[in-house]
Amino acid sequence: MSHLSSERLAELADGEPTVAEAEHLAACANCAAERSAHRRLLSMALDERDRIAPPLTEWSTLAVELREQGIIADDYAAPTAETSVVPVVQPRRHRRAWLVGLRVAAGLVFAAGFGALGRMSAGASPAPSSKEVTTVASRIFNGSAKQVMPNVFGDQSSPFNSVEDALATLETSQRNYDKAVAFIAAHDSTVQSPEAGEVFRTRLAALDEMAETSRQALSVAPADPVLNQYYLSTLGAREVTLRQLGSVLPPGTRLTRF
Amino acid sequence: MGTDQVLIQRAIEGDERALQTLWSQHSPHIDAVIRRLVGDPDLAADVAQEVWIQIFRALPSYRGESQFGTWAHRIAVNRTLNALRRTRRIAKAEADIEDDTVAVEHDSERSLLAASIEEAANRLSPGARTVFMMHDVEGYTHEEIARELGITPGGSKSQLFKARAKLRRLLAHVVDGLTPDTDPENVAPVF
Repeated sequence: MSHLSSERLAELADGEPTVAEAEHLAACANCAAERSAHRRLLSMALDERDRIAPPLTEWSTLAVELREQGIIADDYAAPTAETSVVPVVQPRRHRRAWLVGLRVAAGLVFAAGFGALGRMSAGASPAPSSKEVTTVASRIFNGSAKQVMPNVFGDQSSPFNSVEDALATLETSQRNYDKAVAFIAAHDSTVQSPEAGEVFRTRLAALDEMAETSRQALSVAPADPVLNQYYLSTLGAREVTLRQLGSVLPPGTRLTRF
Repeated sequence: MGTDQVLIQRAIEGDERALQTLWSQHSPHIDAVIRRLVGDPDLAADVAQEVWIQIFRALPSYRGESQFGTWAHRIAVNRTLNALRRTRRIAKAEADIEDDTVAVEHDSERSLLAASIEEAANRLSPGARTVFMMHDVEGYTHEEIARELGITPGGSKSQLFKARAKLRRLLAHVVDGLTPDTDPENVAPVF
């Protein structure tokens, strides 16, 4: 039998040879090597599926179009304190407990995030286990927050007159945070460093863990506005870092994980 | 990262933050699919905008029967193919598929090696590129590809094997580099 054609060998990357072809492949080192090469190529192609890349779109641009098409509802009623974390809002005593829990939850996400960085620097797994998160979150929303983080916020005086006032400030803060992250990214001298890629990968890994931690906390209190703010801010920082990483990688470099 | 049903519900109701969160979570993968299928970065950016609007428009039809990412991926592929069709890239590709004279390239290509699958795939005809990406990367069957592109499963297979053969030569140094002590000139013959 003559050598197999290049297209037939390509087909045999994931196909079965006939009896005659199998005999030839067993006897012909060149054709056998070529078939192996096609299998490696196929494996490389499969790996491409896991590849990620910086977004092609900017949210600010996309949002304009979504708003024009009515997909973003300008009159959307965001979850308020009254509709959030439903099980604890009815009696006044519980409402107060909820507010304490809410504030501690914010601290929890901060603590979880920076805790993750600390763990990483110590060479340990950056994320607390889901059991840890669930346990802590459960304690918070069961009213035992003081035992968890009693003095995170220190001064009890507040410039806000209402929860709505505070929530509006939170929203403004989140938008300013996103802008600040984008500005810092645009002026980040890290990109000129030879180690920039590694720095951004490390940052992305930490942000991924933080996002996952926030998400787990949100599964306990899905409408919690504070947790939502932190989650979204983390994702925003992740997106910016992903763009930065994309800008410093050599052409053709695959990016599938951090 | 998982996607919560609550988040999706809020996005359906028009909550910008929920929509942005979905976009942030999934755009690295969805946009990568678009980039692979389209090739041209400028066109890919235009298509991505269109794809995301379509994903959000279709959100109320998401039933949670599959992962959100999988569902969105399907929309992305369909919408991207539609966009390519509109720009006549697919039309040309379909003509190529029927044209058996589109032969695998010659030895002279050896001097034009590619650094990555993405770069190499950009040197395929639009039709071959689409079939290769859909089958070998995205995991579509030939029957599904045939339906999407309006060609026959046999045409899809033919185009795929030509594409693989060409990619194999364009990426000889990469593919052969995966096994030690091999001479690319000897293990990448053109019969």
